[in-house]
Amino acid sequence: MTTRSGRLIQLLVLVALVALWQLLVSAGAFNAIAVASPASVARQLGSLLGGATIWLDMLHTLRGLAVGYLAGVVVGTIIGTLMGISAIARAYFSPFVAFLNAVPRLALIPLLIAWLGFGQGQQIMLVFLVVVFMVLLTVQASVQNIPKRFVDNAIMIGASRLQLVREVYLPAIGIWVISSARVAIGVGLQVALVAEFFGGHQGLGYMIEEGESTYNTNLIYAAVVVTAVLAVVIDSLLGLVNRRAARWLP
Amino acid sequence: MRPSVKAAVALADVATVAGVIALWQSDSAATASYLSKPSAVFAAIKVWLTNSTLLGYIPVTLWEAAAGMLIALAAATVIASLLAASSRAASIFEPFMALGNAAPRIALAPLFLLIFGTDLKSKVIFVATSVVFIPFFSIFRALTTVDQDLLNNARCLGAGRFAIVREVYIPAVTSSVVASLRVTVAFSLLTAILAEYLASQEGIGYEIQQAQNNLQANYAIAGVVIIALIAVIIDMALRLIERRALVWRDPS
Repeated sequence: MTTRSGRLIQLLVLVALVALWQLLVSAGAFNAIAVASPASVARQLGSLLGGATIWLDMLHTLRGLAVGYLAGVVVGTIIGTLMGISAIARAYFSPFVAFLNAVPRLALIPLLIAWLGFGQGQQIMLVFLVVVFMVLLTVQASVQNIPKRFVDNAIMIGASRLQLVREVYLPAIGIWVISSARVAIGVGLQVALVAEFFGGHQGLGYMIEEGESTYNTNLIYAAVVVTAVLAVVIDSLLGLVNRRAARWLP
Repeated sequence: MRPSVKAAVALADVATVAGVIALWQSDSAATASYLSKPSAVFAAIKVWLTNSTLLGYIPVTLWEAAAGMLIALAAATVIASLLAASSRAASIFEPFMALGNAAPRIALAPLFLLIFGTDLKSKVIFVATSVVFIPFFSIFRALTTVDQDLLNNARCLGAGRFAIVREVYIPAVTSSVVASLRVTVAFSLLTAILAEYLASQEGIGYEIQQAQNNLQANYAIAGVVIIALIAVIIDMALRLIERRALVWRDPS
């Protein structure tokens, strides 16, 4: 637990860091092209948030993240459930999963761009490729860890196959998918941003890259601040959801 | 599973891979220029592994990843030890580490290139700063959750400060580093390649970008395949090491 004085010290550390940054820039300690001052970044941020572009860019990034994540959850849940239930499915899929999961997905960006073009397709595919294995492995483990007596009890009470899926499997899978969402979406957001460095002409990642290629240092820092705030907001929201879900976990 | 079923499943795996390669090979000419063909990619891999310039790019990338990772491990150990030693310092600075961990670090790559340039050193710095959070949290947790019984027992047996560090804390840190090593190594390699994609003069990522700019899709894909193979081999080796090294641990 952080005490009130602890919070105060945290705030002071933060203020001191920003002040030091401003001071060093004003004193000309850094290359002006590389490091912008907090004051000029704040000005840039103000004008960005007043305009429409940044919100459209944010929407673009979030759309790529959402579509890729949802596709990853659907496919990951289906294959993960199959692998959890059937030993044959597990034996068939696991070599592919082990191999592909060890491949650094970001390295595939040139391949994805060659295949799907510079549009949002490659971004969605990249997010999908990162998310699908996380979900798949979580779902497989959760299906395998469903206590056998739950299944037996449901069958004994007379549950049909469909009811078994709906009442036993889906709740168990759902709770684990939700609790893994925080990590999966956090990583998904990062790769969604990186995908925008290389392809497309919209999104927060593109804004960072545009700032770099036009030597608009203020723009890079402002875009980075917006991106970081977005990431932290998403992370805390999912942390909240996570705590809710965790109440139901064994 | 019966052996016959096992064999059939393995056969299905092989057939799937063969099917995908065959489909790719027979793909129409329109996409072939972008996606190349397996035969052309295979030829490019052969050139890659025999050409001394291209072959020399492989250790460059590995060196960036390894140097960055070692710096990250050292920094993580120092920071985690300092914070673990004082609960007051931990309560103040740990949230900053958590914030850094939640921030989209790899999306900051362009910033690093701008500040530190595009040479080898800047890549090592980028890898180190991106990676440091992974071992930090695992070492910090290991240090702050050291079994109190172990400490008390060691003290009863007459262990001094130095002996406790050597016999209790260092093993705890080592095992936590080993346990998170696969993630750490994978992330190091990934960040090194990403930095090379963005701006570089050498390395596997550099060659992939060059090939793409020259519309030599087969060389670009060959590079991606080589990175993937290296990553998978390293991961398999680490999995083996992890299993050996952590064999003594409680199953809990």
